[in-house]
Amino acid sequence: MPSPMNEDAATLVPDARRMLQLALATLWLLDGVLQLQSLMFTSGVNGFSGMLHSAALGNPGPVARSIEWSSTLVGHHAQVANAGFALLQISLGMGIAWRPTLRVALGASIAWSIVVWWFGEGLGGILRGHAAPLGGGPGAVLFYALLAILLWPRAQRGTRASTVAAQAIGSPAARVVWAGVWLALATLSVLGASRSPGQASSLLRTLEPGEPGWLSSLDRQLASGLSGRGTVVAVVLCAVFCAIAIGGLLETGSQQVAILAAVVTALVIWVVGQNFGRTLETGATDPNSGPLLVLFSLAYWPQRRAVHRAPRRATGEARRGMAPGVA
Amino acid sequence: MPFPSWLAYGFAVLMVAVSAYCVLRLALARRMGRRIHRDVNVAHVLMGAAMAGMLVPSWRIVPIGAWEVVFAGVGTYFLILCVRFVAQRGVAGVDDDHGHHVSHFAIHMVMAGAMLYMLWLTTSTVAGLGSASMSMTGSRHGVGDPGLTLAFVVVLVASAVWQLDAMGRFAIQGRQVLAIVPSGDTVRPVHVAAAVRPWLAPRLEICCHVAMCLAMGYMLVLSV
Repeated sequence: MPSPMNEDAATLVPDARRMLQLALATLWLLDGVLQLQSLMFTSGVNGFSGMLHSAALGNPGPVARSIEWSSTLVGHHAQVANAGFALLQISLGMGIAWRPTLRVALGASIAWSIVVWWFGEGLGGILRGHAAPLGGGPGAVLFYALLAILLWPRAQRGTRASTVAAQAIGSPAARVVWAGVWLALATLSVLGASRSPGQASSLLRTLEPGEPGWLSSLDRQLASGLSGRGTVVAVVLCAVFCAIAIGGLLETGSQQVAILAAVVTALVIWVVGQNFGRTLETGATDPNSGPLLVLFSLAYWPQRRAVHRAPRRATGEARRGMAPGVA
Repeated sequence: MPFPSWLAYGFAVLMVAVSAYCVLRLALARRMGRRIHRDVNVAHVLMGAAMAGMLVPSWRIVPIGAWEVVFAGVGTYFLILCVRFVAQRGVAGVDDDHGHHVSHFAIHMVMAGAMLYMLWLTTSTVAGLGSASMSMTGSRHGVGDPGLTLAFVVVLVASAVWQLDAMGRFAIQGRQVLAIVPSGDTVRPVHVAAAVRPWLAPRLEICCHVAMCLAMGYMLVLSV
């Protein structure tokens, strides 16, 4: 790719926050491209509107009616609606990636995430007791909104924040968010149907059809092994999430261990419980919550404190009398 | 599966535009004495023309077999550049204009690979259906390997994002220093534009790359 940059450009290499923003942009762009699958342009039970309609099932009356209304609307204008959704998500990804539109895109992504969480994910199944974190509860799209907040660009002047998340919202709030997210996941893993003995195996059995051979075989074997042990799985997950929540609040060494544990847990859940968001089969609209939990955890990785040196004299001189850039 | 033909036409028009613009870039750079990445622009011309033909079969100007030979050649060319770059500068090295890592060549090698993969999918579909219409947008989902398809899509999307970010870095740089050359124990600014031939609209070249990545990603997800 064209990047005829000079030596000064090397100092503009993305920092940790920018790298996480770019990862978030990649996920939005991937969602937008996945939204362009043929299936998404169709209406009816097996089409995109049918997918939306299924999110209404089990939700309380007013919520279910609002979702049914939106799915009917989409069903009547399937091609235009889906093209609009895809274009919006691609724009969000490109907007986050392009620095001048970063703030607008992050702000818009928060609003869009909430819309999708309501109308596309049925509030993540929380109100019907089906928000098991193993399957992506409480809704992957909520993490897009959360990440947009934690990766919000803020001037670092005068701050002593040690993590990307703390730079955005301050250390105390960042710690509250960390503990809140993992404790919420811990609660959801033992709440309602999530702790039933057949939950884990039935989740894995629903994933099996349509997946590639090796993944399908893994799902089958795990479903067989975990049959009737759903409660144990829920309790173990709850304990792991609680440990991560507490570990992240401790001193730096323990915090790093907790973050690594969070990343590993998220990846295991992504492969085993979410099958990569079912992106290997037709009809997936996003990679589910696994990669987003990884990004969320990495936003808490302790940063090395920058040592501010006085700028070299000639650089200052150079910046005063420069000709236009190469571009 | 029903498919909006207007979307295929839209992407095909975009690819023709990118292709035509890259031809124009090659001509203008030669005429105005500006620097461009000739190999990258030639690759964009070929990929744009081939993808437009895959999206709208009636726009195909070269048989699929010929495109396969072309992109095998393009992929091999960028593979050789990758190997030569790593041998000379190492995996983490940068080249003389201080901006290119090995990924500059690697991504174009991957794109050539994705083109070969899509051409193979198109011919496989035709063989399977016994149809004369060799369209990328025909009923071809489930033909390819989903893991490989997704890997291509993720790499292409990540490359588009990375390049969009690089475009922002260009803008910042444009207002700042051009080059700082060590001189004794201090550094001395040098107007690069005066010292070397300027580049021809590098940000537009990035836009072409981003459009190419998105169109390729779109065509690939049709096969999942």
